[in-house]
Amino acid sequence: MGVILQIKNLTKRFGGLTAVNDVSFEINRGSLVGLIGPNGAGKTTLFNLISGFEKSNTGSIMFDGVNVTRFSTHKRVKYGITRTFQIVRPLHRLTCLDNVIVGCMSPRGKARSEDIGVDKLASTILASVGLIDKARIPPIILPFGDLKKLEIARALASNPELLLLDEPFSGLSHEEQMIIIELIKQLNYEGYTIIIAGHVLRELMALVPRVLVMNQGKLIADGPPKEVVNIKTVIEAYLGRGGN
Amino acid sequence: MVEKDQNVNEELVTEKVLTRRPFSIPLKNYSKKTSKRLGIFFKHKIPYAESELKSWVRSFRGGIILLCLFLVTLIPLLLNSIVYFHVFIIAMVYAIYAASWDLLSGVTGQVSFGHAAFFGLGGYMCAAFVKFLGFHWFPSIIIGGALGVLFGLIIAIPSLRLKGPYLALGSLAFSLLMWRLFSMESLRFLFFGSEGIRNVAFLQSLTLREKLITEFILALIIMIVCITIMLVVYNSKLGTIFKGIRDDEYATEAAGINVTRYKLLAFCISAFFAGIAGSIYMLHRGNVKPDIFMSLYSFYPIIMVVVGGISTISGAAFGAYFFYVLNEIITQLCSDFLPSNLQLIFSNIATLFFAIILLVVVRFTERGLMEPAIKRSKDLWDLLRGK
Amino acid sequence: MSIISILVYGAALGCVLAVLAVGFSLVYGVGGIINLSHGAYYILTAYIVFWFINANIVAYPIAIIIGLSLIALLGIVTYLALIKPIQHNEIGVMIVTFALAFLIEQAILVYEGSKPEEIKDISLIPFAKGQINIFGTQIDAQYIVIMIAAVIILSCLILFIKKSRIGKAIRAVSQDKDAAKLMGINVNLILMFVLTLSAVLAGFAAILYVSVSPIYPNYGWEYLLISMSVVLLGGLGSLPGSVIGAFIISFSRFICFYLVDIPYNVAYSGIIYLAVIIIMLIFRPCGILGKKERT
Repeated sequence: MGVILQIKNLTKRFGGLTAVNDVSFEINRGSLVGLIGPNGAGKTTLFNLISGFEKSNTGSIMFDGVNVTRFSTHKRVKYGITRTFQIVRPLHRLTCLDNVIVGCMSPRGKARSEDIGVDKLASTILASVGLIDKARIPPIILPFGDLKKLEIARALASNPELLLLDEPFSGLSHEEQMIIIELIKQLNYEGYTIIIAGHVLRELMALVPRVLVMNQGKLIADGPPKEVVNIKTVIEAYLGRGGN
Repeated sequence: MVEKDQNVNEELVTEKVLTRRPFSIPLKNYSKKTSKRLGIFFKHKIPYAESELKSWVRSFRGGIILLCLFLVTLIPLLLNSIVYFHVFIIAMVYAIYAASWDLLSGVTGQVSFGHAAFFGLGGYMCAAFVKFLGFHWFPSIIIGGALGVLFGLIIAIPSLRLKGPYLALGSLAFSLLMWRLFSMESLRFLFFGSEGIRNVAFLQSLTLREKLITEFILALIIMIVCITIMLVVYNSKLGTIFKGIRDDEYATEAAGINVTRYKLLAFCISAFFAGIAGSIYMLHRGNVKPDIFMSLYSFYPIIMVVVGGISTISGAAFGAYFFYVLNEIITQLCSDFLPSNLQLIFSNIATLFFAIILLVVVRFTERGLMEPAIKRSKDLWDLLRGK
Repeated sequence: MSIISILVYGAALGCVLAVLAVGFSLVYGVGGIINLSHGAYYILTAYIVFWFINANIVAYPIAIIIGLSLIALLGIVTYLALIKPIQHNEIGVMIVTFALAFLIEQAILVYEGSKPEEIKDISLIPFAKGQINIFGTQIDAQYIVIMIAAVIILSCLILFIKKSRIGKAIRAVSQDKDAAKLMGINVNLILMFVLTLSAVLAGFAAILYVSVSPIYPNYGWEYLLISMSVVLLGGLGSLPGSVIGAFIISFSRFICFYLVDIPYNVAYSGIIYLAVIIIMLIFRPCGILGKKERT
């Protein structure tokens, strides 16, 4: 298996605020990892750094043996890193199918679609997240849960290795959360490496075998959920609803 | 890794076969070979166009467009008056010009307030090639478009690689710069000065009527070709990417698209057709002057597209005809009925009026005037057919 | 000509451009609005003042007050009628302000009549007469008045933004619109205020500078682009940067004028700011003092 993502001493400062402070960790290929922490801990910034939306001040990001620290976002997608957004960003004037097609038009997506065609690939991805009946509908009128699924579908369209899911459960009803969790389980089963940033701890802790905990920009814990919740510093940091 | 005996929802597994990450595609397949790059353009575009063409023709929208096309071809030919040919030729020029603006600003969301720069550069380059280098007009039109793009890249590359309204600023500055440079007497040797390029020979061997008819037919053919190409792009996967960029640049980038490259592609196509429109305009008038870079010529495509329906391409053509013909009718009426001292400021009153229309239309509609009009007509048509 | 001339003319124009550009930068920094009719505000105020003076209806100071009030009114109307209803649509706002700028330009042309390029008779403005001797060069006293007035205006503005409650609200809105809303600030009112303020600043700039420099209706685009180049130079959203940018633009114009235009009989100084825009876009779009944009 081996290490697919290697973060070393990653730091990001915004003026006086250090959002990510000397964070280091490794992720193995095919693993499913949670990233938790109170609001403002730096989870989204960390995702921005890994996916290329922000450039770090210091530190390095090695992906699959390649130093991607200075790469632009789309270049990182080309190497296999994609992310979803906490506040969903659908392409609002396109149909759902077109949203996924945009992802399929990325270099990896196109290569993947060479034998079956972009339309078929996009349809299949939509079907796998359960949105196929909404293919010709623009996202504006969809319920929130479907928009979250569309985010994931669009990320899948570029045939990634690593999926960074930023709060995929937040704002969803319990049933919708279970659907997303099933989807994530299945994706991981098929071999995608997934990092989930989140808050809703009960379901997340039950889902992932390993969890990273951030607080105020620092990584304060790294291990199986059952151990992590008992660490003093983690308890002291605000854990959010449904802690233990 | 999730253990296999965990509770995995069966329904979701059905399509597993095709979505499974496979044969991890090695990175060396993503080399930037030209053929693969052109591939986006051709591979998805042309098959799409062939199969869609028939159904498009039969659709209501397609029918209306073809009907209008038929009418605008027929009217001048039937009326056989020189004035009509003249008006419709220029309307066709504006149709191409407005459509080109729509492709960049409406479809891809990169608003250009200085499109006159590419329009005028096309005209100047074509004039220079025809008059000074003795080229035939046909390649000169193409060269006019191409050189317009080339010089336009000076402003496009810095502006488009940034995310934000930089092209709006840059294009405005660029067009004003062109106006200044081409008006400067001191730079006459390079930029032809305030007189511009005059007496460009085009179809000189024909009589006036024959020349106009020929120009009309040529402009018609070129317009059909240009707008068809733009429509095909609009409906292709390339168009989908452009629309995605318009909706959310960051999300599109996050999906793996090299947004800067596609913005530049949209720009090149747009500036090319704007240059072609400018070349035809120049050939028709027989000269080109620095005033072609004035903000008025940047204003025209905006109002034409906004009224016709932003981000529709065909709406741009409608808007162009609508406006230009309206403009000519009003001008004609005024020169017939207004006393001469008012006529001089007439063109300003007309433009004032059009500016008000633009203001009102942008403020109150999302989709311009043509789209709702077509929709209402379609509803009426369906009603008449008994649906 | 002498260095003194360059310094004085450059400083005077710099002051004026600073007042003009600060308005533009404020609107963008606080509201994210690119107001393409900013240049039109400038020329409109100048023309309004001229029309009133030409018609000999009122004295000059009254004409100024009328001009500024009218332009402030235009600012209010622009925000309420044009910008606020479509403020989610960035492109629409740009088009609508572009249309407004066009409208104003054409309206002036219509009113002015058939010769839009008449040079206005600037001696009509009864400002400081006579010349002052500065280090051996004769300078119109008017330029000194311009600089003093501009400095006063800018200082009042800075004080206002720093000390007053509205100023605090403005700063809050510029940092985070939604947070400001949650804190009970009426964001719409603040945005309208800022737009009106920028219109008045443009009007001030016009009134100051038109006493020494002619004006044409199509100058609106020039001044809009100059504002943009100043703001690009200083960094979009940075007020101190705009002031610095204004002086860079004005001095570069005059240095070019004296060193290049006069000896070689050309007119390059008039397009220097355009070259500045393009160069800044290529090399440093965040400006000299601005913050780097996110990727």
